[in-house]
Amino acid sequence: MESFFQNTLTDLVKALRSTSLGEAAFLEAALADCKREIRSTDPHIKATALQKVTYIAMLQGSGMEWASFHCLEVMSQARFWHKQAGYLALCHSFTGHSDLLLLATNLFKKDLASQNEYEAAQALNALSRVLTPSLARDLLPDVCRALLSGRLAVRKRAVLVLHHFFRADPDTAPHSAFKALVDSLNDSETSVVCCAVNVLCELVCSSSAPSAYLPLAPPLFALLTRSSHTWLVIKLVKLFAVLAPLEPRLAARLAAPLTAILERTPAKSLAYECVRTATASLPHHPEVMALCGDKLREFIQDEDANLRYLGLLALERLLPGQAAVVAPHHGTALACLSDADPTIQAVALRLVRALVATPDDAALVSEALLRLVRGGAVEPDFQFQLMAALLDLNSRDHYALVADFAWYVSVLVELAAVPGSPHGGAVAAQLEDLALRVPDCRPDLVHHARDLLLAPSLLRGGPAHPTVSAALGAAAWITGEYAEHVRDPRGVLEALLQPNVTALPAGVQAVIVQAILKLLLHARAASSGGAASAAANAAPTVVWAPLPSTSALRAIPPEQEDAAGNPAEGGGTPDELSGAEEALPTSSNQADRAGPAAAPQLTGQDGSSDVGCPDRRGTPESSEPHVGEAPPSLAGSLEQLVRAHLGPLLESGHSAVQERAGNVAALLYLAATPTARGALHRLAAAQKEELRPVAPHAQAMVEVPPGLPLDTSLAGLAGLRAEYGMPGPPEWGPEARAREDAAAERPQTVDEGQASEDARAARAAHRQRHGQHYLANDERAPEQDTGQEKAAGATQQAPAPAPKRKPARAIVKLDEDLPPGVVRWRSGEGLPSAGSLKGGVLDQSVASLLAGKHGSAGEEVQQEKRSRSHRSKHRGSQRGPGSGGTELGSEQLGKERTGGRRQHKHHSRRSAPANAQEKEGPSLASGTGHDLPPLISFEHLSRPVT
Amino acid sequence: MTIRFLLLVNKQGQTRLAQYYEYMSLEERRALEGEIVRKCLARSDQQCSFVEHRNYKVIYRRYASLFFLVGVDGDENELGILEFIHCVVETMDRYFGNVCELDIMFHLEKAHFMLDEMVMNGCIVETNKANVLQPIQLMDKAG
Repeated sequence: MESFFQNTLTDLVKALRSTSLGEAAFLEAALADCKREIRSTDPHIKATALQKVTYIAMLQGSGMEWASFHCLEVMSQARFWHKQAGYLALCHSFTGHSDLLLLATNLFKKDLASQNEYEAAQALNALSRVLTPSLARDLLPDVCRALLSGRLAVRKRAVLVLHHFFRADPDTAPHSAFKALVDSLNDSETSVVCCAVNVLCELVCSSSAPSAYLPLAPPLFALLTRSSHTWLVIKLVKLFAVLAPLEPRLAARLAAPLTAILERTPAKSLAYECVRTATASLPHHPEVMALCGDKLREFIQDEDANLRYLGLLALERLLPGQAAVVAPHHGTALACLSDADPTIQAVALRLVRALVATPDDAALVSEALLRLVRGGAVEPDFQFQLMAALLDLNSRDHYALVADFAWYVSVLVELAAVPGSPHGGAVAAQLEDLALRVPDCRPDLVHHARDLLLAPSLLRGGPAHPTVSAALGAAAWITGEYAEHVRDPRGVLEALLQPNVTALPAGVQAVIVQAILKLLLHARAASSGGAASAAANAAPTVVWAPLPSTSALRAIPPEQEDAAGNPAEGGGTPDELSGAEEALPTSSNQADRAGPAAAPQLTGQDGSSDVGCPDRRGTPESSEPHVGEAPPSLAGSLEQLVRAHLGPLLESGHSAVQERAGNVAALLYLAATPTARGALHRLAAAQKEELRPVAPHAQAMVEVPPGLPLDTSLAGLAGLRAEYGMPGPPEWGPEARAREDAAAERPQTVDEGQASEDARAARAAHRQRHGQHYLANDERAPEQDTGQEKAAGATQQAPAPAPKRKPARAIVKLDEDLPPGVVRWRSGEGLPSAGSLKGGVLDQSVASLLAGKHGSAGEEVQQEKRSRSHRSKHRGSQRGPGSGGTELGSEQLGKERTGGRRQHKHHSRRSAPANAQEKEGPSLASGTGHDLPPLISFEHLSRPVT
Repeated sequence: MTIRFLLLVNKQGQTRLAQYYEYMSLEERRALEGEIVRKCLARSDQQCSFVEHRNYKVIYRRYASLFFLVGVDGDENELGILEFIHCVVETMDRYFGNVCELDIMFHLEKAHFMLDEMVMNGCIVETNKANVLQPIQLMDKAG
């Protein structure tokens, strides 16, 4: 009667849809009702309440662990739909560790043996969701009985649930149930076979040693040839994708059935799976590969986006070994770049990139990518991916695929200006790289760099161009470094001196200022004749005019582009300058080349001598006629321009910018000082040194010249240091390293502790005096320390407090963290037990860290496992086929291991203790897979299954 | 385990049925559902039915106002799963007769029962509609 007034689930749903309370409030109210109803003793009311609770929990996305016990009660009811509601609720309330499930063991046993096949199926279903290791141990016999059930619904579920039993209880479950699983492959019902293949497929695919399953290949192969159930064949084909690469004979036999399936099947899913398996296992069968290529062509040309996507994916997977099969689809893949689906676009892009092999391909693909980037029809994200692809593609192998550099430079500049692009840094790197590596494209680069610098929208940066500043920096650097190609120095300088420049990042501003400096130097050199000035540099009697900011000149921060190009800039005295010029053979060569006529005329004179006579006779350096022939006033007017606009940069808050601007100001000052112009020409000459790309490892390949004593020249420093009481620098070099190695191998000795003992004693004394001024976390150690020292001093019974805190200290602290008293006490002989305790723990932990050896428990387990696996392997090789390889008995393996150790000793050049620790290393490594315990032992598979 | 989870979601993004074949905490589930549903619902009809999300591949199909989403392992056969989704819909269609969102809302336990008949442990057990519906029809007769 009571149940008459209870809302059913349908009522609940209806009320929920018509409620005016709001869903959350209504569900709360309904849940409260359910909590009351669920306590009822009436089975029907209880089951209905539980059903509603499940529904509400699903809607709310909340947990229902509180109802676990009610689930068990409802599950144990007699009526099927009650039971079903209970099982459903159990699955939803399961949280991975329900202790209550132990109570359900008997219930599961009863239901698994039930006469009602649906009850048994229901129980198996639930088991597959909530199985815990302890349940697995208890219920395995019942499930094995269910495997033999005459009812289809029970049998197939029992087969499927086995997978969970194997995972939950990997030690014992396979022994008792794997044979039954294999037997199920011969079941008369296809669905049971299908389930068995499913389980095997899962086991093989997730196995770390799938070769263990190779003995199953014959029955599975027979199934593959005779079955027509699509889902079953898909799973079989998938299974063979793992097994076939392990066994070449199997792969060879697989070719025929796969070809047959590919040719005949109308099911795309099966064809796709066959292509995947063929890709993995039959790379050396050209006819199968060709067939796969044909199938995939159908896929990628299909109207269905799903097929196109899968076809492209399969082609991508096919590519590494089968470029010839994939290459014909290049055009289609390019077309897919403009697909409506971003997923397809992304795959197509990956494929297209991977397909490029020749410069022609690269040009074609780059054009296509560029069209898409320009078109603006694609999503911004994809547009940036396209740009990344474009940059990556063309820079591959140092631009091996670029045929036309002028074109590529224009592309780079265009990419730099794409709004919102995150690739400014990459573009900048490539621009600089190209300038260094490809001399022919420098005029183009300089020309385009000017365009970049002149574009007003770019300089503003901001959210529209978040990374363009890097590209601007590169453009500025190129303009400065290759100033001889600048056709319009005034325009470029104006661009570099725009007020907006100060909004750029400091690093970029610094580069820009440096570029201004270089442009000025170049203009000055070009206008007054480089050769004569270069010759003047050789004169030893140059008198340097006092500079306004010499110190600023001397302290130019190290800068990437000027490390080799501008060393003279850093020098303040003529001696240093000449030294620098000796280090620059090419520039002095230039001077020599230009010199003979000019040198006698100028030697012995001041640098000022050439001021009045703008010498433009033989000037091999000024190769650019348009600059070389510029009127001499050009340099002056440029300097005027810079002088007028340098102010904001001089006041920059960034030291690098300010300093360089200071350099420029100094240069302007020099230019205005007639006596100092020689210095300008020296700078300009130094700048003529061309920068070349240097491989990172090139420096290491430079050998030390035979007579050069690298160490002795610094030996005097040690004396100096000692004189002034300075600490030594961190040592390095082969000898120092050898010393370090020795120190590392030697255990920490007491000497080191005592070396700093004085300092510690002083510190401890200070702490004792001013203990209250030490911070809390600093205090811990001294407190213990002083306490202990007091104890030691007062009673002469140091051991008393020591054993209590010794263990903690032994693990945590290094020697230098120990207060002095402790060190002395530890190093004394009075306490052997504590010392040996620490040594023992340390030894153990180090040994276990390095090798996990020295008779620890772990080693015993390992040994045991290994010998067990060897034994079983040995047995397997005696009985079963297919396990293959060289099977060694444990004695043989032992021999092999000692042999390996001896050999290793030969190679080892380390000290004895290290070797002793390494001894066990090769024995583990030499196992070549013998050490891995098999996931499943195949003792019961020794008989041929078919 | 091939199928990791199965979701039925309406156009508004409300989950109508959720079935997980591996244990996942409620917070994880909620986060996962939110992300996946947002991703899938944003896609147009011309786009393919596969979405990669974290380590899952989500295969989805839309029927009227309902999205069927199936999350699988990375190397599962996508087309096979699409066929399976269609099979689920046909089975429900046969039982409810022109199935719609309301049918599933009102008969959630039956929908779950049908799914349990078809999928167990993440593996597809039964694709024959008559076999799937047999026990549930028996139950209806008895109940």
